[in-house]
Amino acid sequence: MTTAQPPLELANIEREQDHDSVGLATFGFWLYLMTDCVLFAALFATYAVLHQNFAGGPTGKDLFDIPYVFVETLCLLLSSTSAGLALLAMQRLDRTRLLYWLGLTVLLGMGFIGMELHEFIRLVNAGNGPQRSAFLSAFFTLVGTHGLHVTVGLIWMTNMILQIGFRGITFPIQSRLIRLSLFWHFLDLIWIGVFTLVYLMGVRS
Amino acid sequence: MKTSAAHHGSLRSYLGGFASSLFLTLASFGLVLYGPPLEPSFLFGMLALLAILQIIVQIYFFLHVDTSSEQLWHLLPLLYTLLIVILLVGGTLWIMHNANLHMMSGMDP
Repeated sequence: MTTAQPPLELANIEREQDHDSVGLATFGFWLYLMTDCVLFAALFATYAVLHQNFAGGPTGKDLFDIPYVFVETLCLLLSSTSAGLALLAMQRLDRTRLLYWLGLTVLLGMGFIGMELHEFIRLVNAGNGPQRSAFLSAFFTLVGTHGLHVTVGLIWMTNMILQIGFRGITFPIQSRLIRLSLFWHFLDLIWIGVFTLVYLMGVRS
Repeated sequence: MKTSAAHHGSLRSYLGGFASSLFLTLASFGLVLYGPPLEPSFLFGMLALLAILQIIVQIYFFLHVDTSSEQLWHLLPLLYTLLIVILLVGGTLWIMHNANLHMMSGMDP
């Protein structure tokens, strides 16, 4: 094969054409992830510009709870790892393990998003919602957009669990799971930037 | 064609990625929570370095992007995106810094 697509070999697939279709779909999804990177870059830049504009309101030092954020980070890192282990189970066509790892990934992801929602609600109830200052507007936009992505990922993953339950590990389902795992790992990557720039640097500046 | 292991990783690569990410995360949080009182610019430099290291670790171990020929078509868009991100973030900070400076002083000719 001399063409552009990155080849992807699947456990129970023999036909060349299917290789190419998975490779192409993965490559297309990869390009989408790159554009998503640019979206997050714009939000990171906005936050970096506005992070000192407190408008007399609370600063990061007053608002952020670092041990709390550490637990959130741990949830997301563990779920990224279990998503990888799910893909390995998929390769072995081990349906039980696949469902087990995907279920664990969903639970950890829900733990993350639940903690984030709890933090948002706490901030808004204390009068520190996005309308409080430019700093908080940028904070809610950046962290909220990431949270929205995680939520979409969770809906996607729940959908995949149902599909596997009803249809088994078919070829199209394998192809979707490969893209889902890329998406999930990508979100953990973005979170590294968020916890470093927003939380860790926020409590020290 | 290469075998699938190279593309979906192995138990080793996922556990290796997890262990090194956990180590780097602990280092970042530990530096802020329990670290010595460092100069802010030095501390931020350390945190940025740890974050960049962890991003590289996860791209390698979790997304399986490396410099092999099969991964070239994932690596090239990634490098191009990196260029765009640097231009976008760096350019924004540069322009807004200058705008701020000129608005504050009000003494420019």
